[in-house]
Amino acid sequence: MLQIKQWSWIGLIILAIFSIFFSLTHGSTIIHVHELLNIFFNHSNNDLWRNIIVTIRLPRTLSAFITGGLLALAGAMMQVLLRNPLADPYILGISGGGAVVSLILIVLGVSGLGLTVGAWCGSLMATFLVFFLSTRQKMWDSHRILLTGIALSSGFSALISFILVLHSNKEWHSLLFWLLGDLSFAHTPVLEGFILLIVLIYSRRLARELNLLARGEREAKALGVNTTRVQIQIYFLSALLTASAVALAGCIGFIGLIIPHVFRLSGYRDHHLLLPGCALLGGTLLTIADTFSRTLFSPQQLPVGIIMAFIGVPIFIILLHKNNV
Amino acid sequence: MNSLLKITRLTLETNKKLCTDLTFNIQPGEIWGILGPNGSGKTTLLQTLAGLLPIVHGEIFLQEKNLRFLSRKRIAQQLGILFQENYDVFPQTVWEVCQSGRYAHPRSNKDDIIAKQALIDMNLDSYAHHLIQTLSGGERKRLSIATLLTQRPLIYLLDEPVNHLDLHYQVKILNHFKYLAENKSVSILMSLHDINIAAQYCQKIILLGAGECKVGDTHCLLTSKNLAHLYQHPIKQVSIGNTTWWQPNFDTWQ
Repeated sequence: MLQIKQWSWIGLIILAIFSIFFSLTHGSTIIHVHELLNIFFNHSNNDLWRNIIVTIRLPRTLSAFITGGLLALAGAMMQVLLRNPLADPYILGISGGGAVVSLILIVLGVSGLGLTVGAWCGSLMATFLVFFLSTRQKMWDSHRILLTGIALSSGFSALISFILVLHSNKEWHSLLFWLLGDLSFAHTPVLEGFILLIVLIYSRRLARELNLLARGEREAKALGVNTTRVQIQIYFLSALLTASAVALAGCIGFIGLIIPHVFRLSGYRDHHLLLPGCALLGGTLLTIADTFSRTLFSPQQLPVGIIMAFIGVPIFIILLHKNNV
Repeated sequence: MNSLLKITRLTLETNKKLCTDLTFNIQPGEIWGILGPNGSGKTTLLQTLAGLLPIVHGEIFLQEKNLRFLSRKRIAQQLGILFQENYDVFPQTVWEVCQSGRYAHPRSNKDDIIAKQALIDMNLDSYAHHLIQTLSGGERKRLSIATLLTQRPLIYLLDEPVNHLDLHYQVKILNHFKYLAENKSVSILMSLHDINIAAQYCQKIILLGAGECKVGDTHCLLTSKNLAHLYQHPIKQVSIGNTTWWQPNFDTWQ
């Protein structure tokens, strides 16, 4: 049993490295792997390629990988928190809050760093709003938080539509890309990578509690878990992950939903393994999807969210058919 | 002897007032039964004692310590509860569920032995790597009991421990708990619908119903009059040999 698990870890890591090389080598010009290694080890004298790799492709690849990891990890935690296998990181309206603030800023003509900070603030604002609207008498209730989140998320959607209708001009295009999830404006994800790493390390301490919480709040409590404390931690950790992803790339669906399921359905149920596994596979999948979104209709770029849905929907349906869970 | 669980002037209420001024002490080695009609507060009582529902009035002391001030982990080290139903959403194996009973205790290399023994006691050892979603109702119930046995508390609160179980396992499981009470000085408090089981296994009885609650010795409290009043249904006593059996009147439809 342990042997198989170790092999699948090696497989996951190889896949992750492959996806990063795949993404770095592909684009409007194909740069071969040996050339890529030359650039990294400072043996190359092709300044143009070095420029492409270092200033364009590397930040984008890292953004894709980290965004995928953030979303998959957030999804895995959110599903346990809400005890709902259908939950994804966006279900609680966290992205909606980010979207509304970002759209307002786009309409006002803000761009670049201001937009990222705005998306961050909007997402965190929505997080706190859902939290305070759904806690009553200091009691935590996963149903109430789910319903509050869905309600607020619908509210945010309405606000987004409202803004879009009022501003029917050339801003539409960037707004649309943002809503569908797009990595073309992503910056080098230093802070986001740091957040992913910290949450990943911290979440190992919560893994045992997550295993119990997956069985039910009442059951976990009866077995000795301080469920309220654990739930609040999971809530804010997954919100932090989602907010980071939203600020980086807008709203990319499906990663947070399918990646945890891929693991659960293939027998990885222990959150000690599931959480880092999700981060790795989520990163891999989004990196590959983003490479396709850049290259399929090059020079035209697609929002990665569309590619993700094209890849994600069939995978998900095949998995559901193979397992009767 | 110190009581394991001491309840003083406890009030139970959901939307309606179920019971006021409930006071009793559970000593080590005792088996207690709770009888009462549907909605009389059996589950509410058990979950309140487990600290899962807020205590409105009254106090609960777990080994002389006020339950209000104990952490979940401390409670779970001494008190375990078996729920009536399980709602499983995520896939897990029988082994993973059973092993989780050790959560409240400091990790030790005996954990796996304890969990394995509990599965053997519940005849589930051959299912260890099966997913819980593939179990039948009775098997799932046995797994919940195995998890509780793995937890090794001093007080077992059992909410209808024998529903979903066939006759063989009903007797086997009740005898197992009886063995634990007699040999390991644990205490058991269980809600039941079967008066005969209560009469057979419990030394003490709590009758919950109609806004009043009675606490006392089984042989004193179990009378046709009390039971008929409790269930609002005629219940008669049948004697076969030395044992007394309780039987509802099957003719009435009211």
